[in-house]
Amino acid sequence: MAQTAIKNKGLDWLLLSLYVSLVLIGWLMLYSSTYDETRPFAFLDFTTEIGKQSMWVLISLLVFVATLTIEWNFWNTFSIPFYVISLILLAGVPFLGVEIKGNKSWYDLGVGSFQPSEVAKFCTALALASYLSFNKNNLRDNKVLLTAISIFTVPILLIMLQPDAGSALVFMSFFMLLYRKGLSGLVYVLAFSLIGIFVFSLTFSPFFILVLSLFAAYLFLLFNFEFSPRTVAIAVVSITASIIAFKYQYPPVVWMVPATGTLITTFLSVKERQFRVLTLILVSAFLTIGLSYTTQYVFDNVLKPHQQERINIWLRPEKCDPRGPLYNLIQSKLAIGSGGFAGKGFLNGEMTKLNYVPEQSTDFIFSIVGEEQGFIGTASVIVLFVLLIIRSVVVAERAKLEFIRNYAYGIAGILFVHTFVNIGMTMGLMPIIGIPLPLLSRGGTSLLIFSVMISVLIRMDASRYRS
Amino acid sequence: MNRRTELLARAYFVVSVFAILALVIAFRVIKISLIEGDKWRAKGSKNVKWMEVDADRGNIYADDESLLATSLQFFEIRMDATVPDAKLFKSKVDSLALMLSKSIRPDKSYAEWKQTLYQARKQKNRYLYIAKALDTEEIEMVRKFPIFRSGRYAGGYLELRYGTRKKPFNQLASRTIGEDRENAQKVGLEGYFDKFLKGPTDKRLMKKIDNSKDIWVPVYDPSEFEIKRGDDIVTTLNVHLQDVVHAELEKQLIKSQASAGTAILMEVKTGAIKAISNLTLKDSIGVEVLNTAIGNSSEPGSTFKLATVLALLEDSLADLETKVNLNAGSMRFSDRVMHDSEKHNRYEVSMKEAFAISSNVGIAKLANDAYNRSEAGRLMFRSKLSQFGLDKMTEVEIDGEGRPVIKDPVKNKNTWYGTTIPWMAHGYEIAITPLQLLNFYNAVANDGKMMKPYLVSEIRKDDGTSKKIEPKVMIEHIAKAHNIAKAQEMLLAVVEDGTAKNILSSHVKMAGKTGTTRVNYTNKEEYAKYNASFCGYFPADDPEYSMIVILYEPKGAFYGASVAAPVFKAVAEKTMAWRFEIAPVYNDTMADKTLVSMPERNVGYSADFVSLFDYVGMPYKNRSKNSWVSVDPFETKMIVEDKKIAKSAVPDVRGMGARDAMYVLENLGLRVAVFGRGKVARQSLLPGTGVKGQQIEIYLQ
Repeated sequence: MAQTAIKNKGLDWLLLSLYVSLVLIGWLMLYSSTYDETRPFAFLDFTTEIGKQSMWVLISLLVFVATLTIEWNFWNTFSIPFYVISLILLAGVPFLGVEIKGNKSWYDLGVGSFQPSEVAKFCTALALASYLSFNKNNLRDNKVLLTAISIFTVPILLIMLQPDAGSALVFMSFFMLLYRKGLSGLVYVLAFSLIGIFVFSLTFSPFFILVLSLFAAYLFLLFNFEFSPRTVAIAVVSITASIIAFKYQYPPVVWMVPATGTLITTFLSVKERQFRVLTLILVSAFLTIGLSYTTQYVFDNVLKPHQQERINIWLRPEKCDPRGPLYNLIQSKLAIGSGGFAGKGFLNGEMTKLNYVPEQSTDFIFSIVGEEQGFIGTASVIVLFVLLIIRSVVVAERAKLEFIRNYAYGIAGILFVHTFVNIGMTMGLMPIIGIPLPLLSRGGTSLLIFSVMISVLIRMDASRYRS
Repeated sequence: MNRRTELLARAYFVVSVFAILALVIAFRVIKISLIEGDKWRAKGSKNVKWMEVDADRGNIYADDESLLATSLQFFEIRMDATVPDAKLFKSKVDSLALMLSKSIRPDKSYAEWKQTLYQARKQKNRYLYIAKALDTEEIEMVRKFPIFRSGRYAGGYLELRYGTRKKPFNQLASRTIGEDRENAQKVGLEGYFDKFLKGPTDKRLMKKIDNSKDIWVPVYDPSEFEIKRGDDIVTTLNVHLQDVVHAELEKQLIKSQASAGTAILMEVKTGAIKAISNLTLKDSIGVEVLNTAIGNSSEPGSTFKLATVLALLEDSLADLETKVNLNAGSMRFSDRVMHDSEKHNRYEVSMKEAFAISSNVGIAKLANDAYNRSEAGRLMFRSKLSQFGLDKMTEVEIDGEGRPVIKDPVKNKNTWYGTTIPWMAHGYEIAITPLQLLNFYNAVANDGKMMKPYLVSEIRKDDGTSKKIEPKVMIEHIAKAHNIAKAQEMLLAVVEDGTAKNILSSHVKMAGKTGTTRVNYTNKEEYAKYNASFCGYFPADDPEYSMIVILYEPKGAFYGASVAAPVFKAVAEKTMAWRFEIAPVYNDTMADKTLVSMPERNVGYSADFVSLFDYVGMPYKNRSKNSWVSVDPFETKMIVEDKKIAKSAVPDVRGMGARDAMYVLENLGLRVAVFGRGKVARQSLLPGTGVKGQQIEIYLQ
C-alpha cells in the first residue's frame, strides 16, 4: 500500500521540489562559504565542515524518502509516545548534554551532536494535532484549551532550562494553530498589544506613548460619540496645538494646558449612556501608559544583560557599541548590502567566505546568499519560503482529516517563525535570536528534522486520494 | 457568519499575515541591497581589504658567508579583550597575568597585569598592547599562554609581525649592498636583486577592528600561515678586503680633504668584485652616499693613456722605443696648446718613457701623428677603443651604470674637432665609469682576456636549491698577446721608474698608471680642480687583483701619484699580507698527530653547537637546557653550559659570531655597530650595564 502511494500522483510535487531546491541552495551556500581553492573537493572529506554537512544532506535525503513510505496514521497512533520520548530527551539535556556557546542544548553522540529541541518541535506538532483532532470544536471548553496550551508550554519550560530562547519562541507558533481552531481573537489582540507597547516604549519614550494613547483615545471618542461642533472645534485646535508644542519641544505647560482643557471639555460633553465605554477607553489608555513606564523597569531589572543587549541591538542600536554585539548585525548587513542586485557571484563572497560575519554558516546563512547572489538570490530564497509556507497552509485547508489539517498548520507555523525570525534578524528587523533558517543553515539535527516534517506532510497530503 | 465560514476567514487571515510579513522582509531586503547597497559596499570595502604581505627578505652574504645584510623578525602582541567569553576570561585571567609578569613583560607586576586585563575588558579594548620586539623563541612561548592559546577567535590573541633590515657591517660597502627602503626606489644590490631577496608576496585579507583608529589585523590567525622567505644572495665581496679598502680610502679622503673617493678591487682571473667603496666626506668621516664607482661616467684623464698606447702597439704605429719629442712639455694641436701637468725640460724620449712620466704631450703627439692625418686614421683609433671593450657597459648587477661616451668621427661629426684625437689620447673628450676603466686594466692584467665584472656569485632559494653564477668572459682577447705584454711592461715602469715610483714597495710588485684629471678646465675664473686617480694591478708578475682609486677634488696635493697611488699601495700590501695569512703553506710537520688541540671558548646558539659536535664527533657534555650557551674546553670534552642573558643588562657577547651577537643585542633594544670579522673580541659596553637603547660597538677578530 505504501508503495502504491509513492507511485501515486498524489505526491505534492511543488512541496517536494521546494524542499529539494532549498536543501540544495543551503549546501551550495555552505560550500561557497567554506570554499578553499586548494581543496575544491573538501566536501568529500568528512572531517571538514562542508564534508560533515554533505553527509547530513545525504542522510536527510535518504530519511526523507524513507519517511515518505510511512502511512499517516502511524504518526497519529504513536504521536503521544513520541511526544513523551521527546520530553524525556529535553528533560535530560541539562544533565547529560554538552555545552556549546553557553547553552546546554546538545547531546554528544560521538559522531556528531544532536539537539533534542528540534525533535521536540516535530513531536509536539504531532501530539497537538492528534489531541485537537480528538477534541475538535471544543476549544471553548477551558479544560481542552488548557491541555492544548500545556502540550506546547511543557517543552517551552524544559527548553528554557537550557536556556535556548530561540527554540522556545518557535513553540509559540502553535498559537497560530489554536487561532485557526477558533481561539478568540481577543487573546491575540491583547498579546500583540502588550508586545507592541513593550516595543514602542523602548523605541520611543514612555512620554511619547502617553501622548500617543491620549491622542488615540481622543480620536476614538470623536468618531464614536455625539459632540457639539464647539467641542469638536476645541478638541481639534488643542490637539493641533499640543502636537506642534510637543514637536518643537516647548515646555510641557504650553501643551498640557490646552490638552487638559480639551480632555475636560470632552468629558463634560459625554452623555450618560456613553460613560461605560468612555471609562473602558480611559482605563486602557492609562493602563497603556502605566505599562509603558513599567517596561523600562522590567527591562532593567528582570531581563538578563545578554537579553537586554539583544533587545537593544534590535530596537535601540544607538545605545550599542558598534564593535560589540552590534557588530554581527552590521557585518551581516554589510554582506547583504555589498551583494547589490546581482551579487558577487558563487564562491566570490569575500566577507562571508572569510568568516567576516560571525555564525554565518548557521544563523547568518542568509547573508551569504545576500553577498554572493545579491537581491536576486535573497528575493528567490524568500519566494521559495513563502511558497513552502503557503503551500503547507493549502495542504492543511484541503485535508479531509482533522489530524492532518492540524499537523499541517503546526508545520506551517514552525516554518514561518523560523524563517521570519531568522531572515528578520540578519537585517535588524528581529532581535538576534539563534534559530536556524530551515533547510539552509548548517546543522545536522535541524536539517534532518525539517526533512522528516516535510516528508510526513507530503505523505499525509497524498493520502487524501485514497479511501 | 457561521462557524465554518468564520474558520475559513481565519485561514485567509493567517495567510494574509504571512504575506504581509513576507512583504516587510522583502522591502527590507530591497532597502539594504538595492537602495543602501552603495553605502554598505563602501562601508564593506572600508572595513576589509587585501593587503600585500611581504615574505621575509633574504640575506646578503659576503664571499666567506659573512652576513652583509639580514632581516631580523620581531613580533608584537596585542589582544582583543572583548573576544574571550566570560568563563574563559574569568578562569584564566590570573594565570595569563602571572605568565606575562613572569616572562615577557616583567616591568609590570602580576597585580598590575591583572588590573590591565580587567580594565581592557571593561573598556572593550580591542587592541590592547601586550608586548613588542619579541623574537621567534619568545613568540612560541607566548602562543602557549592561557587565553592566548585559544587563538584569535576564542582568545582574542593578535600577533603582528615585522622585520627590520640590518647591515652588520654598517658603512662597509653599504652603498653597494644598498637600501631596502619602503616607498622609495631600492638601491644597490638590495635593489638589483630585489625580486630574489623580496621573495613571493602573499595577499592577506585584513580587517579594520576600530574605525576611529585605523587599525588593521589579519582576518585569519597569522600563526596559521607559513611566511614565505626570499632568496639569499651570496656576493663576491670579501669583508676583510672591503674593510681594508674602506679604511684606506677613508684615511686618504680625510687626509687630502677630497670631496669624495671611490675604490674598486677586482679579482683579475674572474672579474669578481672583492671590494667596492664610495665615500663622500661628511663631517670629517667618509659616508656611502652615491655609487660613483658604477654610476659616474667622467673624463678619466691620464689613466686612459694605456688605451692610446695599446692602440698604437696594436696597429704597429709605434713601439716602446719609438721616439717622440716632448718639446719641454707644451705643444700646440690645432687651435689649442697642451701642457704636461708636471713641468719638465725634456725633448726626445721613448714612448715607454713618455708613458712612465705621463707626458700628455708625448702620448697626444704620437696619437696625433699616427691617427689624425685622415678620416681612416681617426676611424682606426676609434675602432681600437671598441676592440678594447671601452665603449661597452659592464652590465654589473647594479642599476644605474653610467654609459661610456666615446665619440665617433663619423657619427659625431659635429662635436669632432681637430683637437679630439690628441685630447682623447690623454683621457679627455671621453667619459667612462671607474669600473669600466678598471675592467680594461683588468683585461690587460689578465693577459688580454676581459672578464665581466660581477658582484653576485650565488642565489640561494628557500627550498635549498641554488644557482651559482660563474665568471663570464666579455672579450677573449682585447689585443695581441705580445702587445699586452708590452702594455704590462709600461705599466710596471710607471711604478718602478715613473710618476708612481713613490709607491714602490719591497713587499708587493705593483703595476699601474696615475691620473690627474683637470675637472673644471672650461671655467677659467675658478681655481683649478683635479681628480687624482690610480689604476693598476698587483702582484705585477702574476696579477691577482686589479684596483682603481679615485679621489675627487682633493685640496692641497692633487697628483694621482701623491693622493691616489698611496691608497693603492696600502691596499695592495695589506691584501697580499692577508692572502699569505689565510693560505699558509702547510708542511708535513704541522700535520703531526700529537698536536691535536681543543677548540677555544665559544658562545652561541645551543643547537648549533650540539649538531656541530655531533657532526665532527667531538665529545661534549651538555649541562644546559637553554638556547644560549657557552662551550668551554675541559680536558678532552667540550662543556656546554648556560650563557645567561639577562633581559635588562648588556650580556657578555664575547666569543659569539657577528650574527648571534647582533641578534641578542638587537633584541635587547641596543643599537649595534659591528667592526671587523670573525668572533667578538671586545665590546664597548661592559657586561651588566643597564640597557637603555644605547649604541654598542662590537669588535670582531
